[in-house]
Amino acid sequence: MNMLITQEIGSFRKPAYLSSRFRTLRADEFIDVAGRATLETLELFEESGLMNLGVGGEMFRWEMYEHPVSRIDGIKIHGPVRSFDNRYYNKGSVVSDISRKSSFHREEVEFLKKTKKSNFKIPITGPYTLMDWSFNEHYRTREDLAYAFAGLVNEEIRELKSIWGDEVMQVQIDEPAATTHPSEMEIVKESINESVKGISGIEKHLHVCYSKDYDLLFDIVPSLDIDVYNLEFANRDDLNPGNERKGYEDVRKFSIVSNSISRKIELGLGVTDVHIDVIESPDLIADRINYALKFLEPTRIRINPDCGLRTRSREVGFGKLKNMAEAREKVLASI
Amino acid sequence: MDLVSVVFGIYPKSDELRRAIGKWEKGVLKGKEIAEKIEEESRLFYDLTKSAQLDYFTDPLFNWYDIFRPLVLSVDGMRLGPLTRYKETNTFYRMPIIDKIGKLGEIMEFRDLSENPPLPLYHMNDSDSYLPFLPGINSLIKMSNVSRDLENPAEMIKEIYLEILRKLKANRVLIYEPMETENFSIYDDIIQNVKLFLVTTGKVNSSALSANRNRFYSIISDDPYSVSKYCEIPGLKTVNAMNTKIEDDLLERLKGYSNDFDRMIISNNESFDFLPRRVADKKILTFRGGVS
Repeated sequence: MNMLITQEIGSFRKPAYLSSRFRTLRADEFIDVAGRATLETLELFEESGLMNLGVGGEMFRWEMYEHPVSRIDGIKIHGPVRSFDNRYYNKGSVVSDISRKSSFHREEVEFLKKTKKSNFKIPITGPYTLMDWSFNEHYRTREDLAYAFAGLVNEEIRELKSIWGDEVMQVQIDEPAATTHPSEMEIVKESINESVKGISGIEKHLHVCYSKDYDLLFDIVPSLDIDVYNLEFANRDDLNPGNERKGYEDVRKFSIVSNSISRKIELGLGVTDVHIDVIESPDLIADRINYALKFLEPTRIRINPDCGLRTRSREVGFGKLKNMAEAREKVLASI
Repeated sequence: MDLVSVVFGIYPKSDELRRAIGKWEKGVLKGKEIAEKIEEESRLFYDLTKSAQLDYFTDPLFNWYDIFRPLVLSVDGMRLGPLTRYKETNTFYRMPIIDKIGKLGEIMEFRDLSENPPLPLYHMNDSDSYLPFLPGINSLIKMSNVSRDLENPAEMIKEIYLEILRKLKANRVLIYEPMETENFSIYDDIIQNVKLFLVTTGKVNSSALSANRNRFYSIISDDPYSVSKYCEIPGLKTVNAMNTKIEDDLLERLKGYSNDFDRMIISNNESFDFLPRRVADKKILTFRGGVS
């Protein structure tokens, strides 16, 4: 049934046999080990009741920034920079013109193709975020750098599509930085559109999270070439079941924008907080979905965690996904 | 012109400390063990400040997950809210939720905290260059979710700050306002007690300072001309903590100020925690090039 499709956002905690050796595995061993972790995670996702399986938890990627950046010429990585708590990412300095050394995700997509499944959604870090998370020490402006990244993302999606074949491929542009600089929303819009320009046969998702102001995003939605918006909400909501869902007030605004444009766009509703170990009950998640259903019909809503679950243990992550699937069943039974 | 160097804010952790904190988060290391490690790493940081010949430096705050957290966890009635973007960066802090501002807990001794490495709040150094660090009162309120029932929270936080300074027996402190601030008069009582180095953000209008009865020891801003009347030594945020380029031209850049000021403070413009440790260590040494 094409209603309230459950989906992953991207990352999931790696099993220890992969994470402990991720950076030291030989190239010929890597695909086997990352592949094994992918298959195990896909199985876990299926067991949880998840409908769209993402890419099996991004087992081929260390994290969303370093992975593509380390495959780009013109960027120097000096070392890790903190994102929050004790979580770090290797932030690069752009020191010359950038170009792809190799595909970011070819190995992963080729591996997924072999599983003969098709309910995947491939996350790709977006051009604006790649720009914003880099030290720009070469391009004249941030805008120039964002467009340079957009060109590389476009090349990458084309390459992945050629591997994928004729079937529609779901691609998710990850832009957690999208609304970080309110004055740069034009750059966000143009660089995202440039990333998918001229590529047919893809369903285009955009993932944005931890925004201080979704209005900034909603303002550019009419001119964005995006089909599904996967957004974080649960982190800003409270944990009590009930009618008031303060964290979800922006759903109404999304519905206003979506009703104002002629093409159909959908909302991926973040219903579980990826930064806490509390496993939200199916009742609470159902509450959140029901709140969103006041504003959007069920064919316009997909259900997902706020963001990738890699910061939670696999057990907690599984619990959250399972409750998400149960909540969907509950809601569907009442529609 | 006499240049005085100041390094403030959270300093990036070494790889070893990051790994140790990771082990502590997983329960492999106990609170006491990680506290000792943080103490040891702080001592190494102080050695680094010596070789960089810094005039002043704040505590490296290696056990602060963000510029508010251990403080928030030490005051009755304050708690941690959602993960929130820190200004226009890719760094996040837990938004403080302030229901009330009650008693200050023990901050000088070892104490396990939830969702932050253990206390003490500071790993003090007995040199005259050491500055305890506190987040700006105005910014703390702006960046928190404060209960509407709370009357004058700024005044209550100021009282907490005075208590912290008494406990530390501090005679100087650095306070950093990461958000633009319209009024600094809340600091008057603090200035009466200690030498206050205030680091500001954005444009500082003289109206924001004119209500102050006392002079700051230093106001470190982007424009020393606009604040010089209100402090003993104006300061300029000179060293960029948001860029990996090593600035070897500090003296050249500061030349223009030498006709107008006898003494000026130069500092970083944000916590060095926005840089990889290796780059921060190099940047610290550029102050030596700036302060001859």
